[in-house]
Amino acid sequence: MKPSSTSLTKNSPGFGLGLRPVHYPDFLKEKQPVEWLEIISENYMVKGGLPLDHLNKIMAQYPLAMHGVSLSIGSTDGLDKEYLKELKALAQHVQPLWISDHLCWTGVQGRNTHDLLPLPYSEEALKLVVQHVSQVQEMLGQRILLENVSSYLDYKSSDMSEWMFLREVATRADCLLLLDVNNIYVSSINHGFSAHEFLDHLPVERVQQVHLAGHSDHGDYIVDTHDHPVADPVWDLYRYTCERFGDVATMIERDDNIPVLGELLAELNRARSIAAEVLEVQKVAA
Amino acid sequence: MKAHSLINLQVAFHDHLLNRPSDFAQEVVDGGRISIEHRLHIYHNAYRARLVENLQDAYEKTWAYLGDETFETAARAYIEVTPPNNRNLRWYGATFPAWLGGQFPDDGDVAELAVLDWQLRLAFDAPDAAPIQTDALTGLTSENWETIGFTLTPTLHISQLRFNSVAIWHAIDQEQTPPASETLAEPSWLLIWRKGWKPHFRTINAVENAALQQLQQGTPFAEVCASLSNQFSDNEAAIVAAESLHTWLNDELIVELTHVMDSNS
Repeated sequence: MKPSSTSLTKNSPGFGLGLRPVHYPDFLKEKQPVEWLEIISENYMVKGGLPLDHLNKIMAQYPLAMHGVSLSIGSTDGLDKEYLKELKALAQHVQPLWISDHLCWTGVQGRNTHDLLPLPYSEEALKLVVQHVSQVQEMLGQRILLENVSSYLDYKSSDMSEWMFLREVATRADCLLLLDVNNIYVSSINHGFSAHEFLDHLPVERVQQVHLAGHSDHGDYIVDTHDHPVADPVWDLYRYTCERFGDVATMIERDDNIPVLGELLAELNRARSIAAEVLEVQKVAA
Repeated sequence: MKAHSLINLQVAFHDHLLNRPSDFAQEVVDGGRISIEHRLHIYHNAYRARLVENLQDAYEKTWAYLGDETFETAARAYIEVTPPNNRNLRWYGATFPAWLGGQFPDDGDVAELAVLDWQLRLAFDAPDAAPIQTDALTGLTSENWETIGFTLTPTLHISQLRFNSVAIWHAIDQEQTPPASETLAEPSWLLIWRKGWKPHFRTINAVENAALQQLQQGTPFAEVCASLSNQFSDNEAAIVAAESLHTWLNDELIVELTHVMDSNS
Protein backbone atom coordinates (compact mmCIF):
# COMPACT_ATOMS: atom_id res chain seq x y z
CA MET A 1 0.00 0.00 0.00
CA LYS A 2 1.14 3.50 -0.80
CA PRO A 3 3.14 5.00 2.07
CA SER A 4 1.67 8.49 2.13
CA SER A 5 4.58 10.06 4.00
CA THR A 6 7.08 9.24 1.23
CA SER A 7 4.76 9.38 -1.78
CA LEU A 8 5.69 11.81 -4.52
CA THR A 9 2.29 11.67 -6.13
CA LYS A 10 -0.84 13.77 -5.70
CA ASN A 11 -3.86 12.25 -3.96
CA SER A 12 -5.98 10.23 -6.36
CA PRO A 13 -8.88 12.23 -7.83
CA GLY A 14 -10.72 8.89 -8.30
CA PHE A 15 -11.96 7.26 -11.49
CA GLY A 16 -12.04 8.78 -14.95
CA LEU A 17 -12.35 8.22 -18.69
CA GLY A 18 -10.44 9.28 -21.77
CA LEU A 19 -12.45 12.14 -23.31
CA ARG A 20 -13.39 11.30 -26.91
CA PRO A 21 -15.23 13.70 -29.29
CA VAL A 22 -18.09 11.21 -29.76
CA HIS A 23 -18.96 11.69 -26.08
CA TYR A 24 -18.83 15.53 -26.07
CA PRO A 25 -22.65 15.79 -26.13
CA ASP A 26 -22.94 13.54 -23.03
CA PHE A 27 -20.43 15.57 -21.04
CA LEU A 28 -21.89 18.91 -22.18
CA LYS A 29 -25.49 17.88 -21.50
CA GLU A 30 -25.15 16.89 -17.85
CA LYS A 31 -22.60 16.04 -15.20
CA GLN A 32 -21.45 12.46 -15.70
CA PRO A 33 -20.36 10.15 -12.87
CA VAL A 34 -16.61 10.47 -13.39
CA GLU A 35 -14.25 12.34 -11.09
CA TRP A 36 -11.89 13.42 -13.86
CA LEU A 37 -11.15 13.12 -17.58
CA GLU A 38 -8.02 12.56 -19.59
CA ILE A 39 -7.61 14.51 -22.83
CA ILE A 40 -5.28 13.69 -25.72
CA SER A 41 -3.08 16.81 -25.71
CA GLU A 42 -2.54 16.86 -29.49
CA ASN A 43 -6.31 17.07 -30.14
CA TYR A 44 -6.32 20.54 -28.61
CA MET A 45 -3.08 21.86 -30.09
CA VAL A 46 -5.15 23.77 -32.65
CA LYS A 47 -5.75 27.48 -33.23
CA GLY A 48 -9.49 27.65 -32.51
CA GLY A 49 -12.91 26.28 -33.40
CA LEU A 50 -15.18 23.78 -31.75
CA PRO A 51 -12.53 21.50 -30.14
CA LEU A 52 -11.24 24.35 -27.97
CA ASP A 53 -14.76 25.56 -27.19
CA HIS A 54 -15.70 22.06 -25.99
CA LEU A 55 -12.48 21.84 -24.03
CA ASN A 56 -13.22 25.13 -22.26
CA LYS A 57 -16.72 24.01 -21.30
CA ILE A 58 -15.62 20.58 -20.13
CA MET A 59 -12.63 21.84 -18.13
CA ALA A 60 -15.00 24.11 -16.23
CA GLN A 61 -16.73 20.97 -14.91
CA TYR A 62 -14.08 18.27 -14.61
CA PRO A 63 -10.44 18.12 -13.54
CA LEU A 64 -8.40 17.16 -16.61
CA ALA A 65 -5.20 15.20 -17.08
CA MET A 66 -3.22 15.81 -20.27
CA HIS A 67 -1.99 12.74 -22.13
CA GLY A 68 0.28 13.15 -25.14
CA VAL A 69 1.41 10.80 -27.89
CA SER A 70 4.11 12.86 -29.61
CA LEU A 71 6.78 13.70 -27.03
CA SER A 72 9.04 10.92 -28.37
CA ILE A 73 11.11 11.09 -25.21
CA GLY A 74 13.48 8.34 -26.38
CA SER A 75 14.28 9.60 -29.86
CA THR A 76 17.94 10.23 -30.67
CA ASP A 77 16.70 13.29 -32.59
CA GLY A 78 16.30 15.06 -29.26
CA LEU A 79 13.26 16.96 -28.09
CA ASP A 80 11.08 19.01 -30.41
CA LYS A 81 11.16 22.50 -28.89
CA GLU A 82 8.17 23.73 -30.89
CA TYR A 83 6.06 20.79 -29.73
CA LEU A 84 7.11 21.44 -26.13
CA LYS A 85 6.15 25.10 -26.43
CA GLU A 86 2.70 24.11 -27.66
CA LEU A 87 2.39 21.55 -24.88
CA LYS A 88 3.35 24.14 -22.28
CA ALA A 89 0.87 26.66 -23.68
CA LEU A 90 -1.92 24.07 -23.53
CA ALA A 91 -0.92 23.15 -19.97
CA GLN A 92 -1.04 26.81 -18.93
CA HIS A 93 -4.55 27.00 -20.32
CA VAL A 94 -5.85 23.68 -18.96
CA GLN A 95 -4.01 23.67 -15.61
CA PRO A 96 -4.12 19.86 -15.70
CA LEU A 97 -3.94 17.42 -12.80
CA TRP A 98 -0.75 16.20 -14.49
CA ILE A 99 0.87 15.72 -17.89
CA SER A 100 1.80 12.32 -19.29
CA ASP A 101 3.28 10.72 -22.38
CA HIS A 102 4.88 7.38 -23.29
CA LEU A 103 8.24 5.82 -22.59
CA CYS A 104 9.04 5.23 -26.25
CA TRP A 105 10.28 6.86 -29.42
CA THR A 106 8.05 7.77 -32.35
CA GLY A 107 10.51 8.78 -35.04
CA VAL A 108 14.06 9.57 -36.05
CA GLN A 109 15.92 11.79 -38.53
CA GLY A 110 13.07 14.29 -38.65
CA ARG A 111 10.47 11.69 -39.59
CA ASN A 112 7.59 10.46 -37.47
CA THR A 113 6.03 7.00 -37.52
CA HIS A 114 3.09 7.98 -35.27
CA ASP A 115 3.65 4.67 -33.51
CA LEU A 116 4.82 4.22 -29.92
CA LEU A 117 7.99 2.24 -30.62
CA PRO A 118 9.81 0.43 -27.81
CA LEU A 119 13.27 1.42 -26.64
CA PRO A 120 16.04 -1.05 -25.94
CA TYR A 121 16.40 -1.41 -22.18
CA SER A 122 20.04 -0.34 -22.22
CA GLU A 123 22.20 2.08 -20.28
CA GLU A 124 22.55 4.22 -23.41
CA ALA A 125 18.77 4.56 -23.84
CA LEU A 126 18.36 5.14 -20.10
CA LYS A 127 20.82 8.05 -20.09
CA LEU A 128 19.14 9.64 -23.10
CA VAL A 129 15.64 9.35 -21.64
CA VAL A 130 16.73 10.66 -18.22
CA GLN A 131 18.34 13.67 -19.90
CA HIS A 132 15.23 14.35 -21.97
CA VAL A 133 12.84 13.94 -19.03
CA SER A 134 14.89 16.44 -17.02
CA GLN A 135 14.68 18.95 -19.87
CA VAL A 136 10.92 18.46 -20.25
CA GLN A 137 10.28 18.76 -16.50
CA GLU A 138 12.38 21.89 -16.30
CA MET A 139 10.47 23.46 -19.17
CA LEU A 140 7.03 22.46 -17.87
CA GLY A 141 7.92 23.21 -14.25
CA GLN A 142 6.48 19.93 -12.99
CA ARG A 143 7.10 16.20 -12.85
CA ILE A 144 5.69 14.35 -15.84
CA LEU A 145 4.25 10.84 -15.96
CA LEU A 146 5.68 8.24 -18.33
CA GLU A 147 3.59 5.30 -19.49
CA ASN A 148 4.84 1.81 -20.31
CA VAL A 149 3.99 0.91 -23.93
CA SER A 150 2.98 -2.47 -25.30
CA SER A 151 5.62 -4.10 -27.48
CA TYR A 152 5.94 -6.93 -29.96
CA LEU A 153 9.70 -7.40 -30.08
CA ASP A 154 12.77 -7.50 -27.82
CA TYR A 155 16.12 -6.02 -28.77
CA LYS A 156 19.38 -7.92 -28.42
CA SER A 157 20.90 -4.68 -27.10
CA SER A 158 18.63 -4.67 -24.03
CA ASP A 159 20.61 -5.51 -20.92
CA MET A 160 17.88 -5.14 -18.30
CA SER A 161 14.20 -5.98 -17.93
CA GLU A 162 11.48 -3.52 -18.91
CA TRP A 163 10.47 -3.03 -15.26
CA MET A 164 14.06 -2.29 -14.24
CA PHE A 165 14.31 0.21 -17.07
CA LEU A 166 11.03 1.84 -16.05
CA ARG A 167 12.11 1.99 -12.41
CA GLU A 168 15.51 3.42 -13.28
CA VAL A 169 14.03 6.09 -15.56
CA ALA A 170 11.54 7.17 -12.88
CA THR A 171 14.12 7.23 -10.11
CA ARG A 172 17.01 8.82 -11.96
CA ALA A 173 14.89 11.40 -13.80
CA ASP A 174 12.65 11.99 -10.76
CA CYS A 175 9.49 11.55 -12.78
CA LEU A 176 6.23 9.70 -12.13
CA LEU A 177 4.66 6.64 -13.75
CA LEU A 178 1.44 5.96 -15.57
CA LEU A 179 0.94 2.20 -15.45
CA ASP A 180 -0.97 0.81 -18.39
CA VAL A 181 -2.12 -2.49 -16.93
CA ASN A 182 -3.34 -3.71 -20.33
CA ASN A 183 0.06 -2.96 -21.89
CA ILE A 184 1.79 -4.89 -19.12
CA TYR A 185 -0.49 -7.85 -19.79
CA VAL A 186 -0.09 -7.60 -23.60
CA SER A 187 3.70 -7.46 -23.36
CA SER A 188 3.82 -10.24 -20.76
CA ILE A 189 2.09 -12.56 -23.25
CA ASN A 190 4.09 -11.36 -26.25
CA HIS A 191 7.42 -11.72 -24.45
CA GLY A 192 6.64 -14.43 -21.91
CA PHE A 193 7.39 -12.58 -18.67
CA SER A 194 5.49 -12.44 -15.39
CA ALA A 195 3.18 -9.43 -15.16
CA HIS A 196 3.22 -9.72 -11.37
CA GLU A 197 7.01 -9.59 -11.32
CA PHE A 198 6.81 -6.47 -13.50
CA LEU A 199 4.49 -4.75 -11.00
CA ASP A 200 6.45 -5.98 -7.96
CA HIS A 201 9.55 -4.09 -9.07
CA LEU A 202 8.01 -0.68 -9.67
CA PRO A 203 8.40 2.10 -7.10
CA VAL A 204 5.05 2.49 -5.32
CA GLU A 205 5.69 6.12 -4.46
CA ARG A 206 5.98 7.13 -8.12
CA VAL A 207 2.81 5.56 -9.57
CA GLN A 208 0.32 8.37 -10.15
CA GLN A 209 -2.13 6.85 -12.63
CA VAL A 210 -3.41 3.61 -14.12
CA HIS A 211 -4.74 3.00 -17.62
CA LEU A 212 -7.12 0.16 -18.42
CA ALA A 213 -7.96 -0.80 -22.01
CA GLY A 214 -8.99 -3.63 -24.28
CA HIS A 215 -6.86 -5.62 -26.72
CA SER A 216 -7.14 -8.03 -29.64
CA ASP A 217 -6.09 -11.60 -28.94
CA HIS A 218 -4.55 -13.27 -32.00
CA GLY A 219 -3.81 -16.53 -30.22
CA ASP A 220 -0.02 -16.51 -30.47
CA TYR A 221 0.21 -12.84 -29.59
CA ILE A 222 -1.91 -9.93 -28.41
CA VAL A 223 -2.20 -6.47 -29.96
CA ASP A 224 -2.98 -3.41 -27.88
CA THR A 225 -5.90 -2.09 -29.97
CA HIS A 226 -8.09 -0.22 -27.47
CA ASP A 227 -11.14 -1.38 -29.40
CA HIS A 228 -12.62 -3.93 -26.98
CA PRO A 229 -13.83 -3.92 -23.39
CA VAL A 230 -11.15 -4.59 -20.77
CA ALA A 231 -10.39 -8.36 -20.79
CA ASP A 232 -10.75 -10.59 -17.72
CA PRO A 233 -7.01 -11.28 -17.27
CA VAL A 234 -6.47 -7.49 -17.29
CA TRP A 235 -9.11 -7.07 -14.57
CA ASP A 236 -7.26 -9.71 -12.53
CA LEU A 237 -4.03 -7.81 -13.03
CA TYR A 238 -5.78 -4.57 -12.06
CA ARG A 239 -6.79 -6.20 -8.76
CA TYR A 240 -3.14 -7.08 -8.16
CA THR A 241 -2.17 -3.50 -9.12
CA CYS A 242 -4.58 -2.12 -6.52
CA GLU A 243 -3.19 -4.50 -3.92
CA ARG A 244 0.33 -3.24 -4.56
CA PHE A 245 -0.20 0.45 -5.31
CA GLY A 246 -3.32 1.25 -3.29
CA ASP A 247 -5.63 4.10 -4.19
CA VAL A 248 -4.39 5.15 -7.65
CA ALA A 249 -6.26 7.33 -10.15
CA THR A 250 -7.67 4.89 -12.70
CA MET A 251 -9.24 5.42 -16.11
CA ILE A 252 -10.37 3.49 -19.17
CA GLU A 253 -8.96 4.27 -22.61
CA ARG A 254 -11.09 3.44 -25.63
CA ASP A 255 -9.95 4.61 -29.06
CA ASP A 256 -11.82 2.45 -31.56
CA ASN A 257 -15.27 0.84 -31.70
CA ILE A 258 -16.14 3.45 -29.10
CA PRO A 259 -19.41 2.46 -27.39
CA VAL A 260 -22.07 4.69 -25.83
CA LEU A 261 -20.84 6.43 -22.70
CA GLY A 262 -23.02 4.22 -20.48
CA GLU A 263 -21.03 1.13 -21.42
CA LEU A 264 -17.75 2.78 -20.46
CA LEU A 265 -19.25 4.04 -17.20
CA ALA A 266 -20.35 0.46 -16.42
CA GLU A 267 -16.81 -0.76 -17.11
CA LEU A 268 -15.47 1.99 -14.90
CA ASN A 269 -17.80 0.83 -12.13
CA ARG A 270 -16.13 -2.57 -12.31
CA ALA A 271 -12.80 -0.82 -11.69
CA ARG A 272 -14.35 1.08 -8.79
CA SER A 273 -15.64 -2.16 -7.26
CA ILE A 274 -12.30 -3.96 -7.57
CA ALA A 275 -10.39 -1.04 -6.06
CA ALA A 276 -12.94 -0.70 -3.22
CA GLU A 277 -12.79 -4.43 -2.41
CA VAL A 278 -9.00 -4.38 -2.28
CA LEU A 279 -8.90 -1.27 -0.10
CA GLU A 280 -11.51 -2.75 2.23
CA VAL A 281 -9.53 -5.97 2.66
CA GLN A 282 -6.38 -3.95 3.33
CA LYS A 283 -8.22 -1.80 5.87
CA VAL A 284 -9.50 -4.85 7.73
CA ALA A 285 -6.04 -6.46 7.65
CA ALA A 286 -4.46 -3.29 9.04
CA MET B 1 27.56 -9.00 -34.53
CA LYS B 2 28.21 -5.82 -32.58
CA ALA B 3 25.01 -4.27 -31.30
CA HIS B 4 23.94 -1.05 -32.97
CA SER B 5 24.21 2.22 -31.11
CA LEU B 6 20.78 3.62 -30.21
CA ILE B 7 20.72 6.00 -33.16
CA ASN B 8 21.67 3.27 -35.62
CA LEU B 9 19.07 0.95 -34.09
CA GLN B 10 16.35 3.58 -34.49
CA VAL B 11 17.41 4.36 -38.06
CA ALA B 12 17.45 0.61 -38.89
CA PHE B 13 13.97 0.14 -37.38
CA HIS B 14 12.69 3.17 -39.26
CA ASP B 15 14.27 1.96 -42.52
CA HIS B 16 12.50 -1.36 -42.02
CA LEU B 17 9.16 0.43 -41.58
CA LEU B 18 9.80 2.43 -44.75
CA ASN B 19 10.80 -0.63 -46.86
CA ARG B 20 14.36 0.66 -47.17
CA PRO B 21 17.33 -1.75 -47.03
CA SER B 22 17.81 -2.54 -43.32
CA ASP B 23 19.53 -5.12 -41.16
CA PHE B 24 17.08 -4.44 -38.34
CA ALA B 25 15.95 -8.09 -38.07
CA GLN B 26 19.42 -8.98 -36.77
CA GLU B 27 18.82 -6.72 -33.77
CA VAL B 28 15.70 -8.55 -32.64
CA VAL B 29 15.70 -11.41 -30.16
CA ASP B 30 14.57 -14.74 -31.63
CA GLY B 31 12.24 -16.87 -29.58
CA GLY B 32 8.76 -16.97 -28.17
CA ARG B 33 5.58 -17.94 -29.89
CA ILE B 34 5.99 -15.84 -33.04
CA SER B 35 8.90 -15.42 -35.47
CA ILE B 36 11.08 -12.35 -35.82
CA GLU B 37 9.55 -11.81 -39.24
CA HIS B 38 6.07 -11.79 -37.72
CA ARG B 39 7.14 -9.39 -34.96
CA LEU B 40 8.54 -6.99 -37.54
CA HIS B 41 5.41 -7.35 -39.66
CA ILE B 42 3.19 -6.20 -36.76
CA TYR B 43 5.00 -2.83 -36.71
CA HIS B 44 5.26 -2.63 -40.51
CA ASN B 45 1.54 -3.18 -40.81
CA ALA B 46 0.54 -0.89 -37.92
CA TYR B 47 2.52 2.02 -39.41
CA ARG B 48 0.56 1.85 -42.68
CA ALA B 49 -2.81 1.01 -41.13
CA ARG B 50 -2.65 4.06 -38.86
CA LEU B 51 -1.79 6.42 -41.72
CA VAL B 52 -4.44 4.93 -44.03
CA GLU B 53 -7.02 5.41 -41.29
CA ASN B 54 -5.88 9.00 -40.82
CA LEU B 55 -6.24 9.71 -44.55
CA GLN B 56 -9.70 8.09 -44.58
CA ASP B 57 -10.69 10.35 -41.73
CA ALA B 58 -9.26 13.52 -43.33
CA TYR B 59 -10.53 12.73 -46.84
CA GLU B 60 -13.94 11.28 -46.06
CA LYS B 61 -15.74 12.39 -49.24
CA THR B 62 -12.79 11.55 -51.49
CA TRP B 63 -12.74 8.08 -49.89
CA ALA B 64 -16.47 7.62 -50.57
CA TYR B 65 -16.02 8.88 -54.16
CA LEU B 66 -13.12 6.60 -55.04
CA GLY B 67 -14.48 3.61 -53.12
CA ASP B 68 -12.66 1.55 -50.47
CA GLU B 69 -10.30 -0.33 -52.76
CA THR B 70 -9.15 2.52 -55.03
CA PHE B 71 -8.81 4.90 -52.08
CA GLU B 72 -6.77 2.46 -50.03
CA THR B 73 -4.50 1.65 -52.98
CA ALA B 74 -3.93 5.38 -53.52
CA ALA B 75 -3.45 6.03 -49.80
CA ARG B 76 -0.90 3.22 -49.46
CA ALA B 77 1.03 4.44 -52.51
CA TYR B 78 1.04 7.98 -51.08
CA ILE B 79 2.26 6.73 -47.70
CA GLU B 80 5.21 4.95 -49.38
CA VAL B 81 6.45 8.20 -50.90
CA THR B 82 5.37 10.54 -48.07
CA PRO B 83 6.74 9.58 -44.66
CA PRO B 84 5.18 11.78 -41.94
CA ASN B 85 7.41 14.60 -40.76
CA ASN B 86 5.16 16.40 -38.29
CA ARG B 87 4.78 15.50 -34.62
CA ASN B 88 1.01 15.86 -34.83
CA LEU B 89 -0.81 13.27 -36.97
CA ARG B 90 -3.43 15.98 -37.56
CA TRP B 91 -1.23 17.46 -40.28
CA TYR B 92 -0.45 14.25 -42.15
CA GLY B 93 -1.85 14.23 -45.67
CA ALA B 94 -1.63 17.96 -46.46
CA THR B 95 -0.04 17.13 -49.83
CA PHE B 96 -2.46 14.30 -50.65
CA PRO B 97 -4.71 16.43 -52.95
CA ALA B 98 -1.77 17.53 -55.12
CA TRP B 99 -0.47 13.96 -55.18
CA LEU B 100 -3.90 12.66 -56.24
CA GLY B 101 -3.82 15.24 -59.05
CA GLY B 102 -0.70 13.53 -60.38
CA GLN B 103 -2.15 10.04 -59.95
CA PHE B 104 -5.45 10.81 -61.65
CA PRO B 105 -4.39 13.28 -64.39
CA ASP B 106 -7.56 12.66 -66.41
CA ASP B 107 -9.85 12.97 -63.39
CA GLY B 108 -9.15 16.41 -61.97
CA ASP B 109 -12.36 16.22 -59.95
CA VAL B 110 -10.66 13.78 -57.55
CA ALA B 111 -7.97 16.25 -56.48
CA GLU B 112 -10.53 19.06 -56.27
CA LEU B 113 -12.76 16.99 -54.01
CA ALA B 114 -9.72 16.24 -51.84
CA VAL B 115 -8.94 19.98 -51.57
CA LEU B 116 -12.51 20.49 -50.40
CA ASP B 117 -12.15 17.76 -47.75
CA TRP B 118 -8.84 19.13 -46.46
CA GLN B 119 -9.83 22.80 -46.45
CA LEU B 120 -13.09 22.06 -44.60
CA ARG B 121 -11.01 20.30 -41.97
CA LEU B 122 -8.62 23.27 -41.74
CA ALA B 123 -11.54 25.68 -41.39
CA PHE B 124 -12.97 23.55 -38.56
CA ASP B 125 -10.17 24.41 -36.12
CA ALA B 126 -8.69 27.54 -37.69
CA PRO B 127 -8.24 30.59 -35.41
CA ASP B 128 -11.35 32.18 -33.90
CA ALA B 129 -12.34 35.72 -34.90
CA ALA B 130 -15.68 37.31 -34.03
CA PRO B 131 -17.55 38.60 -37.11
CA ILE B 132 -18.66 42.21 -37.23
CA GLN B 133 -22.40 42.92 -37.22
CA THR B 134 -24.27 45.07 -39.71
CA ASP B 135 -24.76 47.82 -37.13
CA ALA B 136 -20.98 48.34 -37.07
CA LEU B 137 -21.45 50.00 -40.48
CA THR B 138 -24.51 52.09 -39.71
CA GLY B 139 -22.72 55.05 -38.17
CA LEU B 140 -20.13 55.40 -40.91
CA THR B 141 -19.92 58.72 -42.74
CA SER B 142 -19.45 58.98 -46.50
CA GLU B 143 -15.88 60.06 -45.73
CA ASN B 144 -15.37 56.86 -43.76
CA TRP B 145 -16.65 54.82 -46.70
CA GLU B 146 -13.91 56.27 -48.89
CA THR B 147 -11.15 54.87 -46.73
CA ILE B 148 -12.60 51.85 -45.02
CA GLY B 149 -11.37 48.29 -45.59
CA PHE B 150 -12.39 44.90 -44.24
CA THR B 151 -10.36 42.16 -42.60
CA LEU B 152 -11.71 38.80 -43.68
CA THR B 153 -12.00 35.79 -41.39
CA PRO B 154 -8.76 33.81 -40.82
CA THR B 155 -10.70 30.64 -41.67
CA LEU B 156 -11.14 31.78 -45.29
CA HIS B 157 -9.76 29.76 -48.20
CA ILE B 158 -10.35 30.41 -51.91
CA SER B 159 -9.25 28.10 -54.71
CA GLN B 160 -10.18 27.78 -58.37
CA LEU B 161 -12.66 25.15 -59.49
CA ARG B 162 -12.42 23.47 -62.86
CA PHE B 163 -14.87 20.62 -62.28
CA ASN B 164 -18.30 19.99 -60.76
CA SER B 165 -16.70 18.68 -57.57
CA VAL B 166 -19.07 20.73 -55.38
CA ALA B 167 -22.07 18.89 -56.91
CA ILE B 168 -20.20 15.60 -56.39
CA TRP B 169 -19.55 16.52 -52.73
CA HIS B 170 -23.22 17.30 -52.11
CA ALA B 171 -24.37 14.04 -53.74
CA ILE B 172 -21.98 11.99 -51.58
CA ASP B 173 -23.05 13.94 -48.51
CA GLN B 174 -26.67 13.02 -49.21
CA GLU B 175 -25.69 9.41 -49.95
CA GLN B 176 -26.81 9.73 -53.56
CA THR B 177 -25.05 8.64 -56.72
CA PRO B 178 -22.62 11.43 -57.63
CA PRO B 179 -23.06 13.07 -61.05
CA ALA B 180 -20.57 12.33 -63.84
CA SER B 181 -17.49 14.50 -63.71
CA GLU B 182 -17.81 17.61 -65.88
CA THR B 183 -15.62 20.55 -66.67
CA LEU B 184 -17.31 23.80 -65.60
CA ALA B 185 -18.41 26.06 -68.47
CA GLU B 186 -17.78 29.26 -66.49
CA PRO B 187 -14.70 29.99 -64.38
CA SER B 188 -15.63 29.40 -60.73
CA TRP B 189 -13.97 29.56 -57.36
CA LEU B 190 -14.54 27.70 -54.15
CA LEU B 191 -14.96 29.75 -51.00
CA ILE B 192 -14.47 27.85 -47.72
CA TRP B 193 -14.77 29.37 -44.26
CA ARG B 194 -16.24 28.74 -40.82
CA LYS B 195 -19.53 30.31 -39.78
CA GLY B 196 -20.08 29.89 -36.06
CA TRP B 197 -18.45 26.55 -35.31
CA LYS B 198 -19.38 24.95 -38.62
CA PRO B 199 -17.27 24.93 -41.80
CA HIS B 200 -19.15 26.23 -44.85
CA PHE B 201 -18.45 26.47 -48.56
CA ARG B 202 -20.02 27.90 -51.66
CA THR B 203 -19.10 28.53 -55.26
CA ILE B 204 -18.30 32.12 -56.22
CA ASN B 205 -17.96 33.78 -59.62
CA ALA B 206 -15.06 35.78 -61.05
CA VAL B 207 -16.50 39.10 -59.84
CA GLU B 208 -16.87 38.04 -56.20
CA ASN B 209 -13.52 36.25 -56.28
CA ALA B 210 -11.76 39.40 -57.54
CA ALA B 211 -13.47 41.53 -54.87
CA LEU B 212 -12.57 39.15 -52.04
CA GLN B 213 -8.97 38.85 -53.29
CA GLN B 214 -8.72 42.65 -53.28
CA LEU B 215 -10.08 42.89 -49.75
CA GLN B 216 -7.67 40.17 -48.59
CA GLN B 217 -4.81 42.24 -49.95
CA GLY B 218 -5.97 45.24 -47.89
CA THR B 219 -7.57 47.19 -50.74
CA PRO B 220 -10.11 49.78 -49.46
CA PHE B 221 -13.75 48.93 -50.14
CA ALA B 222 -14.13 52.12 -52.23
CA GLU B 223 -11.45 50.85 -54.59
CA VAL B 224 -13.16 47.47 -54.83
CA CYS B 225 -16.31 49.36 -55.81
CA ALA B 226 -14.33 51.34 -58.39
CA SER B 227 -13.13 48.05 -59.90
CA LEU B 228 -16.75 46.94 -60.16
CA SER B 229 -17.58 50.15 -62.03
CA ASN B 230 -15.08 49.12 -64.68
CA GLN B 231 -17.13 45.96 -65.32
CA PHE B 232 -20.68 47.24 -64.78
CA SER B 233 -22.67 50.42 -65.19
CA ASP B 234 -22.51 52.65 -62.10
CA ASN B 235 -25.98 51.59 -61.12
CA GLU B 236 -25.26 47.88 -61.50
CA ALA B 237 -21.90 48.23 -59.74
CA ALA B 238 -23.59 49.86 -56.74
CA ILE B 239 -26.13 47.03 -56.57
CA VAL B 240 -23.42 44.32 -56.85
CA ALA B 241 -21.33 46.04 -54.15
CA ALA B 242 -24.27 46.42 -51.77
CA GLU B 243 -25.47 42.85 -52.30
CA SER B 244 -21.97 41.44 -51.91
CA LEU B 245 -21.41 43.33 -48.68
CA HIS B 246 -24.76 42.12 -47.35
CA THR B 247 -23.84 38.51 -48.19
CA TRP B 248 -20.38 38.77 -46.61
CA LEU B 249 -21.85 40.15 -43.40
CA ASN B 250 -24.48 37.40 -43.30
CA ASP B 251 -21.83 34.78 -43.99
CA GLU B 252 -19.72 36.17 -41.12
CA LEU B 253 -16.78 36.68 -43.49
CA ILE B 254 -15.82 40.14 -42.17
CA VAL B 255 -14.15 40.23 -38.77
CA GLU B 256 -12.76 43.77 -38.60
CA LEU B 257 -13.14 47.23 -40.09
CA THR B 258 -9.88 48.84 -41.06
CA HIS B 259 -9.58 52.53 -41.83
CA VAL B 260 -7.42 52.47 -44.89
CA MET B 261 -5.94 55.90 -45.54
CA ASP B 262 -6.95 57.55 -48.80
CA SER B 263 -3.89 57.82 -51.01
CA ASN B 264 -4.72 61.52 -51.65
CA SER B 265 -4.88 62.48 -48.00
